[in-house]
Amino acid sequence: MTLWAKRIGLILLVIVLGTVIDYVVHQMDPAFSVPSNYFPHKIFYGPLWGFVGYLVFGAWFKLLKTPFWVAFTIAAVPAVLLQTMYFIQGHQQLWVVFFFLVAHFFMFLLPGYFICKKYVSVFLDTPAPRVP
Amino acid sequence: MNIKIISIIVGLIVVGGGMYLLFNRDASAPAGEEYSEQALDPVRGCTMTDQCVLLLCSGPFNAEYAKTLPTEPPCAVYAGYQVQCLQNLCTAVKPANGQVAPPSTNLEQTAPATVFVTHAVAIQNFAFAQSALTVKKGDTVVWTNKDSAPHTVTGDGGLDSGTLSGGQTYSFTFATAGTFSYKCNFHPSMAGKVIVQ
Repeated sequence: MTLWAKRIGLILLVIVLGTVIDYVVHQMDPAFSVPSNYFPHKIFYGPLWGFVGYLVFGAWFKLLKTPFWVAFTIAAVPAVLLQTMYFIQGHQQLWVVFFFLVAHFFMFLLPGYFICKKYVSVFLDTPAPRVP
Repeated sequence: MNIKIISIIVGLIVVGGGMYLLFNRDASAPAGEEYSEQALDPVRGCTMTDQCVLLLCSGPFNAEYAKTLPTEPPCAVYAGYQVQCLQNLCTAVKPANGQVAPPSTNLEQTAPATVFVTHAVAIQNFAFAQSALTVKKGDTVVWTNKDSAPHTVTGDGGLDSGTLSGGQTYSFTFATAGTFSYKCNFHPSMAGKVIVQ
């Protein structure tokens, strides 16, 4: 239970840090401007989708063997799913949607990689050493 | 549970809540932008339509009274005159035939046929408040960006506001009849049209 709480907390941290970077980028150009509920929405749903991605690819399929792939998963899943929703909503121009699809991924990947590397034992089930 | 993790979670909740409050602040209009009929001086017997864009007064117009008219909302009041308010500055335009309508609180009775009306369209929550607006030839439409995000009013017939930052307005007078579609250049989902009769 404690381990899962740590995982959720760290995924939340990754998304919040990524959203802070995202906020700065969205202020750079009028074409990037978004509704006021955009960032709270991202902080709420980002960890949710990141956790689902970690569950599916990590706990279920056992595909996540290194910190990089854990970070890749909790960055890519929210980035793709949230951006798909923004695409459907049509708030932004098409090129902006696709630009931010890539940008969001790297915004989450950057903090995600360092956090997953630092807390590798939280995300990866490393077997305990055998005692002879 | 590790105390560090608990601290992180609590910190994130606080930061998240703070960001929500910070980013959600434009949901409510800033102070001073909300007008109501109660805000008008009852002595002047004025009525208001379209959020302070057009004000008509039931009392007689005279020069002395005009000097006392406020330049801030709820703005100046002239019987039978077209009153336009942009930001906090209101101006009155004399009707083309020079006649001032008899005192009345009824817009249809008060305004001479030649008086052009100014319509207000708020840009709020990433949408045009009135996506379809019907006006008469010669009327003016004033768009006010009430979002913190920038928007544009760009469309047919020369409609081009450029970038409107939060609080800025753009006015356009429709001289010809027809349907004029417009949208925000930055946010394609924001679209509207003005039907000029």
